[in-house]
Amino acid sequence: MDIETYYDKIYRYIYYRVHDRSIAEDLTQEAFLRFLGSSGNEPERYLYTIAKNLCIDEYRRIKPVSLDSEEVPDLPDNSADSLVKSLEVRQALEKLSEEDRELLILRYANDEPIKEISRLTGISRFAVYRRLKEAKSRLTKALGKETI
Amino acid sequence: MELVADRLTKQYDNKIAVDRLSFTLKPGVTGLLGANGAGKTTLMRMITGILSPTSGEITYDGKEVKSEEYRNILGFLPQDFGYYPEFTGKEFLMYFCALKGLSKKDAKVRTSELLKMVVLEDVANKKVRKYSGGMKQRLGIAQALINRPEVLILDEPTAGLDPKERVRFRNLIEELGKESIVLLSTHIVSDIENIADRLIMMRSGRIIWDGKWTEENGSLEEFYLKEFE
Amino acid sequence: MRDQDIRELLQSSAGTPDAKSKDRFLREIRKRQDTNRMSFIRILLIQFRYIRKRVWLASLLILILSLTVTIDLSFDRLTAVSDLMPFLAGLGMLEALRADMHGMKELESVTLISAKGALFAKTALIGASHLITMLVSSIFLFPSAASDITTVAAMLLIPYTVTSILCMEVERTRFGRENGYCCLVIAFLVFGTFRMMLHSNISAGTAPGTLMLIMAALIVLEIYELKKTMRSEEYAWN
Repeated sequence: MDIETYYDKIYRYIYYRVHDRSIAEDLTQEAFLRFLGSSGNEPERYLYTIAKNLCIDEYRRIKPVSLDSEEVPDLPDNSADSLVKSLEVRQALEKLSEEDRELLILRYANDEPIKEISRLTGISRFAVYRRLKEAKSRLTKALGKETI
Repeated sequence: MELVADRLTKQYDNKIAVDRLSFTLKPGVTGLLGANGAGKTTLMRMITGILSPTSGEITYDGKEVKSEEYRNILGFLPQDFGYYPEFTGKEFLMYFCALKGLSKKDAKVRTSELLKMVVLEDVANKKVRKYSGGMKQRLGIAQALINRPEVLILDEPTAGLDPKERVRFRNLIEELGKESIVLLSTHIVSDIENIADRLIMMRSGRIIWDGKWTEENGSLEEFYLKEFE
Repeated sequence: MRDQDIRELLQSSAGTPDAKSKDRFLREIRKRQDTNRMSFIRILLIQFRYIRKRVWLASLLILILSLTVTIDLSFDRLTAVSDLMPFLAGLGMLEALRADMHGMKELESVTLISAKGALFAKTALIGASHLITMLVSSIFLFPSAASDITTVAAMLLIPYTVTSILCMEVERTRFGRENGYCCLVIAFLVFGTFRMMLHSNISAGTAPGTLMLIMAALIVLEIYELKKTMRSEEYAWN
């Protein structure tokens, strides 16, 4: 397993589900620990599955937070600009379906090739391509940047 | 995490470069001070396993310094290093990533991470021979960090760095020292005065001071000048 | 939005995980695993990527020269190929010893492969390609050379080994290390010497038994030199 490569990917994958930097980090490490204690073919798919399951456990543990609350997202650097941007991204992503989100994160946050996404999600390559295209336009719309 | 040197000696023909040194290094920054020719470089090369001691031995947690296991956790910045003339900064790091056992995928990720860390992303695709002294030195430091070393040996790492780079470098070393054994040689007192948890001073192959330098000891600079110049 | 914009947006707004905690974690993981020893094949593949094309081109050139049936039958291909042998050897040595000449040996020493491993892999790759080149060449040259196979082998092997032995000797000196092109100068000198006096001696007159003896001695010397080069990890320059 290319752990250097997947560490950041799994972190981003989890971050976009839990929206908390330090929780994302803890879960990332937990995911790897669980992963390394196991063996099997398709390690990447398995790793993502572990990550997803950890997030689901995490949702159950904490009560859902509403975006309307006054909480400030936990961010790497707290410049107002990036804070606003990241809040926008979060809000936009939350308007999308679970599946859209998943595809967008894998494709853009994690730079996974279409072929790999198809393998990870079990959706055909063509379908991945088509759904991504739709998801992308929905995201653009949600971000209010339809013009481009 | 313990690096143990036991009666380490290196003799060249009839000159003794390192004379029966014994010490134990633990996580933290250890500064190795001494004038040129004091035996610092010879000592560091023995610690990295490049040079075999005439007698005595060095082990890290029971591992021999000539072992693969040790090289796997070792980072080293030599006093001077070269590169293939066709190498860009990125290619240079990719090469050493490969030699250190990273897969191509991991090598790419680690390389870009390190380039960012030493602030060379902008010149990543420029030939190393076009780099300034400070840039080349930063590349060398990045190279030493590829495998996230537990033992980091830096021979005159601040050579060629400008004041700004020095500050950045000091912060980096301080951070690294929290987790790893860092041994850093220099002949510039101010480089390590504030960050070294421990000082080893060498003269003619022997240790003349070993311990933490505190204010009670007076000015390190003055001591150094008195002892070495 | 362009793909690139979305990528940037999604990557930047997630931030990067804390470098220190990542460092600590990855090291902890490494401790639990055995050191992943690299297979020799992998080491070969890594070094293969960094051997410059000119090395393979030189072999190719010699093969082509050996294979082509020249129109002019009086053209002595054996001598021509023999003439090129010092350059093949010199170029190969220059490439194999390059890391050292460019001051990368120390850095290579502290890697998993180690400088020795890297050098060995490079030498093995270049040496193997040269061996094949010489073998194939001699097979093709033999019928047209109008001499026995020992002579053909001697015409190729002797200049080759003499050059590479000299290169390794010179490289062991500081001057040789700092002036990489010494290898090519040596190649040129060997070429000249053979051209002027030795070619004729080998191809005519010398008994096959003597040639075999010379070749055997050179091969032994070559192996000895190679071993010495591999071992010379310590310089006494301090």
